[in-house]
Parts: sequence; C-alpha cells; structure tokens
Amino acid sequence: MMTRKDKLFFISLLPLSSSLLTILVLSIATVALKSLDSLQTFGLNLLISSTWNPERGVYGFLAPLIGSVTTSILAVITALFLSLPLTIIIAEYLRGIVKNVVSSIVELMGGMPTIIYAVWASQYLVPFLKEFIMEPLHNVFKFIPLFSCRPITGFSIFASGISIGISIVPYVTAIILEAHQSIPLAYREACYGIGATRYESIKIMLSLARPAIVAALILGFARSLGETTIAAVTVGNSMYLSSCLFAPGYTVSALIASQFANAHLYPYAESVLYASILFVMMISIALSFYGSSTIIRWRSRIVV
Amino acid sequence: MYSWRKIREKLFTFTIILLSLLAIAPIIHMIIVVSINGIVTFVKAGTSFFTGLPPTPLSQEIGGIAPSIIGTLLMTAISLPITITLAIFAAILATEFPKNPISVAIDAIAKSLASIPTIAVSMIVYTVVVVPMKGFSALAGALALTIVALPYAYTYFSTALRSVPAVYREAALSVAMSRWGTVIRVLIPIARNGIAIGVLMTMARIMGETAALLFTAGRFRNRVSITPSKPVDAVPLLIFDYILSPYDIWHQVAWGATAFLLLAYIAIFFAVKLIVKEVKL
Amino acid sequence: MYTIIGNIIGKIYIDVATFNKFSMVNYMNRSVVIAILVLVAIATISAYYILRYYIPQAHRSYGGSLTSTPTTTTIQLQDVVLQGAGATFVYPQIAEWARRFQSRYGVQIDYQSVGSGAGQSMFFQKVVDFACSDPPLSRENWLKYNGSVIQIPWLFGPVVIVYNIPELPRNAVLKLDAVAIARIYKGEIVYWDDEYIKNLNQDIAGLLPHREIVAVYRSDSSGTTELFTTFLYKASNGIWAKELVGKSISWPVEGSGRGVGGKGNEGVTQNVIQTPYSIGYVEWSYAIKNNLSIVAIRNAVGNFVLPSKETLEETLKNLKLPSSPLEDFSKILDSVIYTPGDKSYPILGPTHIILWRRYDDPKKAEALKLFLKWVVEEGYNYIVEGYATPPQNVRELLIKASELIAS
Repeated sequence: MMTRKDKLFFISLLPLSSSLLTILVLSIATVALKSLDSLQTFGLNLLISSTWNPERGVYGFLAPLIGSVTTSILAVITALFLSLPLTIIIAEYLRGIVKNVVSSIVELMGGMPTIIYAVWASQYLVPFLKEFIMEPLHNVFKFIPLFSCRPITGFSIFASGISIGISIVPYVTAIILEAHQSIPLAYREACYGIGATRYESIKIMLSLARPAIVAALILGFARSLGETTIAAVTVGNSMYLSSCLFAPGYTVSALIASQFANAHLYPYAESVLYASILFVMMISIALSFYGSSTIIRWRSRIVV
Repeated sequence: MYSWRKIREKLFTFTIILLSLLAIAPIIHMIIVVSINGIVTFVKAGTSFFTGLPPTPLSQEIGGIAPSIIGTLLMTAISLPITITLAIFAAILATEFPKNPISVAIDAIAKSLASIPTIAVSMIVYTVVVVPMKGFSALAGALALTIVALPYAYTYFSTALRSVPAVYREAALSVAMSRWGTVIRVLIPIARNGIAIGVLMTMARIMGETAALLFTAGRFRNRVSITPSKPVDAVPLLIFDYILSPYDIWHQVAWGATAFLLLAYIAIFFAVKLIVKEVKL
Repeated sequence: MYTIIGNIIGKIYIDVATFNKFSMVNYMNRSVVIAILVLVAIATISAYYILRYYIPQAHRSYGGSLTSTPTTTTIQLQDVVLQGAGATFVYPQIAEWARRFQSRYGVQIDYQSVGSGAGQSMFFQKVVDFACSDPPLSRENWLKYNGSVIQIPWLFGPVVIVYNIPELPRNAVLKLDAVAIARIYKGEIVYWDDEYIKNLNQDIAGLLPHREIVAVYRSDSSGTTELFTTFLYKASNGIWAKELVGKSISWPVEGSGRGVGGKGNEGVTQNVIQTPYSIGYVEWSYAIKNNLSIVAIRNAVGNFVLPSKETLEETLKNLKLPSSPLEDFSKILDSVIYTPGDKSYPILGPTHIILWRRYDDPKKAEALKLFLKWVVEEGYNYIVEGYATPPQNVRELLIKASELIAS
C-alpha cells in the first residue's frame, strides 16, 4: 500500500521505463511478423533438422540454436574464471596508481569494436588454442565424447566460446567490481576483526555480492547469445551437429551474418532467418525472467 | 608450523594471481597488436588522418577517416543521452520498488534485449525506420545503437544505485525528503562513481558497435555529413569493411582507425575519472 | 603557472623519496590538472585551425589531382548523391570509380556492400537508387518488373583455385581439371599424390607429398560458390551433380572431416594460408594480394590456363549477350563459364548493375546517365586488380542503358 506521494513517484517513473517494454514488444512483433511465412510453411520441421539448402528449399536450424546456447555457456564459464580473479586482484591486492591503471585498461577493452576482437581471435587466439589446448586435450582424452574429434583448423564451438568469453570479461568485471566496492566497510572490518585470512574474508564478501555476480553472468550470457562478429569468424560455420566441442559448428547470429546477404534471392530464406531469431529471443526471455525473479528474491534476503 | 588454513591462503593467492594474469594477457596482447599496427599508419599519414577522406584501393596515400569520426560522434551524441535517460529511469524504478512485478519485468526485459543478435537489431530497425524513410540515416543508426546499449546501461546503473546502503535512504526519508528528492540528492550523488563508469562503458559500447549499424547507417564515406536524416559512416563500420578486404592500404587504414578509437577512449576515460570523485562508504 | 607545476613536481619528488603511497589526484591538484588539460586542448585545436588556414592542404588528394573546369552540367549536379547497395565483389572498383567521378563532376556515389540479395531487396524497396548484384535478376523477378528495370553485366571477375603445398617451389604450376577438383570436393581423392593428380602433373609428380587434402569452401552464401559449382557441374562430365550447384550447398567433403568452411573470401584465404596441404577457391584479388599459389585449370579446349589479363580478355571476346539492357539476363552464367577459346579461363563471373528506367528525381536520372557514360569513356581505364575489362558489347549495353534512363 503506497501513499499518494509514492504513487505519484511511481507513475512519474513509469513512462520512460516502459519504453524498454515498448522496444522489446516492437522488436518481437517485427520479427514474428516476418517469420510467419516460414513458420506456416515449414512448421516445427525447422527445429528438428539442421540443413541449409536454399536452392532446394530445405531448412532446419537445430545446429545453430544448440550452437548458440553451447557457445554462450562456454563464454560465461570462461568469463567467470577470468573476471572473478581479476576483480579480486583489483579490489583487494592492488593499490594506488597500479590499481587505477589496471582497472582502466580492463574498462577500456569494453569499448573495443567487436570486429577487432574477431580479427585478433582468428589470427592469434585460435591458432594458439589449437596448438596448446585443443590438440593436447584431444590426444589425451580421446575417449570423452566432448573431445573426440580432431581439430583441423581450430575454428570450433570451443574456440568461439572462449573468444566471446574474453570479450565479455570487461563488462562482467566492471559490474562485479562496482558491487564489491560498495560493500560497507563494516563487513570488511568484522571479517578481519575475527581473524579470518584474506581468502576467507574474500569468500564472505563475495557472497554478499552474489546477486550482482549472477546478474552480471546473466547479462554476459545474453550478450554471448547476441554476439555476431566474433561468432561469425571463429565458430567454423558448419551445420554439423555433434557432441564434440572441437568440431566446427554454427550459432544463430553467425548463420544470419553468413546467409542474410543473399537470403532475399530465395523465397523463404529470409523468413527462416527471422524465425531463428525468434527462437533465440524466446529462450533468452524465458531465462532472463527466471533469473531476474530469482535475483530479486535473493536480494530481499540480504539486508545491507 | 603450517596449518591447513595458511596453505589454503597461499594456494588461493597463487591461483588468483595466475588466473588474473591469464585474463589480462589477451587484453595486453590485443592492445600491443593494435598499437603497433596503428602507429605505423599514424606515422605514415600524419594529422591528415583525422581530416581527410578514405583512400581508394589504387591510391598510394593513406588519406583519412574524417567522415567516419564525425559520423560516430554524431550518432553517439544522439544516442547517448537517450540511452542514459531511459536507463537511469528504469534503474531508479527498479531500485525504489524492488518487489513490484513491473520492475522484475523491466529487469528481465533489459537482459532479453541484450540477447537479440546485434545484426538482428539492425534488421529490425531497417524494417521499422529505414524503409519508411526510404533511406539510411544517422537517426536509424543511433536508434539501433540505443537498443543495443540499453541493457548494459541499465545493468550498470542499477548495480550502482543498488549498492547504496539502505541507511542513507532511510535517513533521507526520515527527515521528510520527498522520494524524488532522495533520489536526486542522496542516491545519485553517492553512487556517482558507479554511474560515471556506467556512462563511460555505455559510451564505449556505442562507439564500438559494428553489426547494429550494418543496415541502418549508410556507410557514406565520401563527404563529412552532419545531417541526422542522411546516411553517415561510423568508425567501426569502416574497420569492418576495410579489414575484410584484400587491399593492403585499406588494412592500414583499418588498424589506424582502431588505434584512434583506443586513444579516444583513453583520453575520455581519464578525463572523466579525474573529474568524478570516488565516494568511500 | 610555473609554481603550480613546480609544486606538483616537488610533491612527486618528496613522496617518492619518502616512500609515501599517495594519490596523484587529490582535491587540490585535480582542478589544476583539469585546467591544464583544457588549456592544452584549446591550444592544440586553435593551432591546428590556424595552420590549416595559412598552409593550404589538399584534403581530397589521393595520388594525382584530377581537377577539371566545371561545365554547366556539373554545376547543376554538384550536390547529387547516388545511393547504391549490393555485392561485396564490386565494392573496391566502385570506390575507385566514385572518387574519380566525384572529382570530375561533383556527384557523390555512396555504396554499401551488404550482399547481392540484400542489395536487390533495398533496390526494390526504393531505399537505394541502384543495386549491384552478382547474379542477374531471376526470371520471375524480371517478368514481374519487365520494362521498368535495366540491368547490365558491367564487370567480370575470375574465381581462382588456390593451394598451399609447402613442398612445391614457388615457380611450380599445379595443373588440375574439373574432374580432379570435383572429386577432391566430394571426398573421393584423399591424398595429394593420388594417381589422377600425378597424371596431370607429370613434371612435378615426384614432389607431390602423401598428405591428406584439406578442402576449404565458403561457409556463407556467395556468388563465388555459385560460379565455382556451376563450373564443376558443366565441366566434370557428370561427376558433380546438379543438386550441388548454388550459392550455399552442403559440401560432400564436409562429412569426411577434411573439409573446412571459411567465412567470406578472407576466411577462405586465411584458412588456406594457415592450413598446409589445403586447397580453396577465392576471388582473384584475394589470391593476388596475399601471394597465394594459383592452380592452372583445364579449359574447354584442353589447355591449362592461369588467370591473366590476356586469358580473361580472350574469354570475354566470345561472350553472347542480349542486345538490350531491358532483356532477361538470367541465363548469362551459362555463356560465360567454361567457354570455348584457346586461351580462355574457365571460371569467370559477371556482376550486374540494376537500375530503374524512370526516376522521380530528374537530377538523379541525369547523374546516373552521366555515370554510365563516364564508366564507358573513362572508368574502364582504371580497373582495379582482380577485375577483367569487359568487351565491346558490354560497353554498347551501357551506352544504351544511359539513353534509356529518363525521369
């Protein structure tokens, strides 16, 4: 029960905030309208197969959908492993000018055009990954289906996941850093006051920042779903669906980037591409709603 | 006498340092690669890099990227205020009324917007804005950039606002300050460092976004243009087009443009960081 | 001013000397630093403008001035902007032509390489004034717009086969025919020292290594793939089936694990460079610029030909084209790939410019007519590397088109 003043406050905030809703609804509407054609013609066949043959009119985007989800999961894991330590180092161990310089460098990288990440990844990162990580893993762990195929060029779901992960590290780091720096001094003093080691107190303070970490990771997941240029260049662009991480694959955004240019020349191709966007959006909307409600419930339990 | 706790502590420090070096190494490597390739271009081109027009494949001089710089500035100038205003209102709503279903919805919507493939954003803006206007324009490009940047701006701002401890809000409300008053005079000033970082990161994202401009901005490289309703170029688009071509002189221009972007960020970042003070709680 | 700087330097010295960790940006110095930065910025900007005013620079030069005295037409057309969109293939050539055309007549041409399909779509939605598309309008589209669209195949470019075999010396020429290439891309020929390849290359047969061939293809939808597969279909005596012709196909070699998809010409180029024992197909300009070794392909007569100015001109000499730009060009690929002729190169592809016959804006119509005429008179003297000069009947088509455009 809000007082009148509260209600006025709420209403004054509403118009501009609901612009976000309008944008999303508009986007979904446009995409849905344009994909109606192919959904009516092909129905759910699109979800079952993975072929791309516009000349014969056969389409199926199961491989790109799975590829998108897999690369995003890989990217989030990479970002987690890289940005948590980075945040801890910046927040706890560094001081003064070095701290400023390091955190500025990390934030700077958030603005690098993704095409440069893509070019750098395809020329330096992927050969490096292929030589030092993929081939050794393949040689040693051949029996695990995840590593069972031989990497010929290195362009694969694995390479794409790691590249996208590196590109979202600046965002995730900035958010976690922000959350960490606003944990009140009282908690820090309490931890050290009872004689906890650095490791233990960091653990405690991170658990306070956990909602922000999860929010950052969900944002990172959403971003990796939508990452176009890096995925298009590193994922290998093949409709081959397999359980092996080192095989070339596809993501929805890479599919669009590769096929949209000439899609207009075929009757249903454009519409099928829009349908694939629709499916990705539905997956991510479901995930975001679930994640957001969990975070909100979490937050209400932590009293600061 | 080594106890298990002490060993764990040392192990932890060691792992953390290793992993962060691993995290920073790609970034440093990228900066080095960009700087080396870009410095070569700058030295060759001189100051006309910022004022000239891009070269053609057969030419010998490097020329410049003036149309792209002005285009990026124009689209950032249109898109940044809109993004920040929308995002901050949404963030205030989410912070002030955390349990309200509308704020949960807005939170989720912001994350969903981030997952639209950026090329799909440009396709959507093309259908909604470019086709009715019968032409590409800086406005369409700015709109696409806003859609792409909104989720990030919202997340930064809401994290920053949320990290203000409840004590301050309660104190302000207890002296009968209006709700808007608490927001403007208490919350935002305390969170100003976070908000400044959010603005910077959003601006960096807007200036560096490539795929959202592919079908919206128009890639007009022949002349410097500042009309919002006419086609315009952007630095990331230039880099995208030129680095995927086989011509060496275009590659050089692309690296030079990247180095320029990096330098621009450094300049703006340091300027803002100097001005905004950090608030210690 | 100096005392303040002296203060700052003194502070640094003292603090370093006493090992004090300090923050350079404490309150007192901060406003000073800002003031200095602002002053420096103002100083640089004003110095720059002053220099620009007093020392004239040619901003729009690009290696040779092409000033001309404006005639009455150019004064009228000074501010016209023509919008085009379409295939990436033409982009470098149009960039070159647009710059020269602009310095001659003041008309600006803006081109976006979004792909042939997207270009056609934008053209029909009237978002752009002309489209450049590798494939011509399909028969259905042409029938739909019969009489109101003009298309001319105004540029040609070869598709070359490139390879990476470290054992072969730079000056060796690998010879292949369509049958060999088709079997490689179907996965049937597995090693470089296969009997069939050795038979075609008696002189270097000993150098061919016993290594698996990695076949690189285009993963995205592309006109280059269409040209390549049409050639294989026409010339391989049935080995390459008709179902495998198109802009985006499922490659038989993909399932064998020895196939790699590259995105765009640059993706294929990079894959060939980075993967030893690989073979791929790209546009000529990419092979030239990246110093890739090119395969000599057997043409219809039986000779093994490399792409060069002479061989391409010879191929285009026998080109049969419809006589008017208003006609249907959808069968053009048939007449330009695997043509007869002693020295003709078998994989050559056209790219078309598509225009409306009527434009609402008379200035745009004027500018387009001028542009087409200029391309015939002067543009063809400045062909960028990787394209072939078109023959006489193409020039006639361009002139006819220029006369057809009205407002």
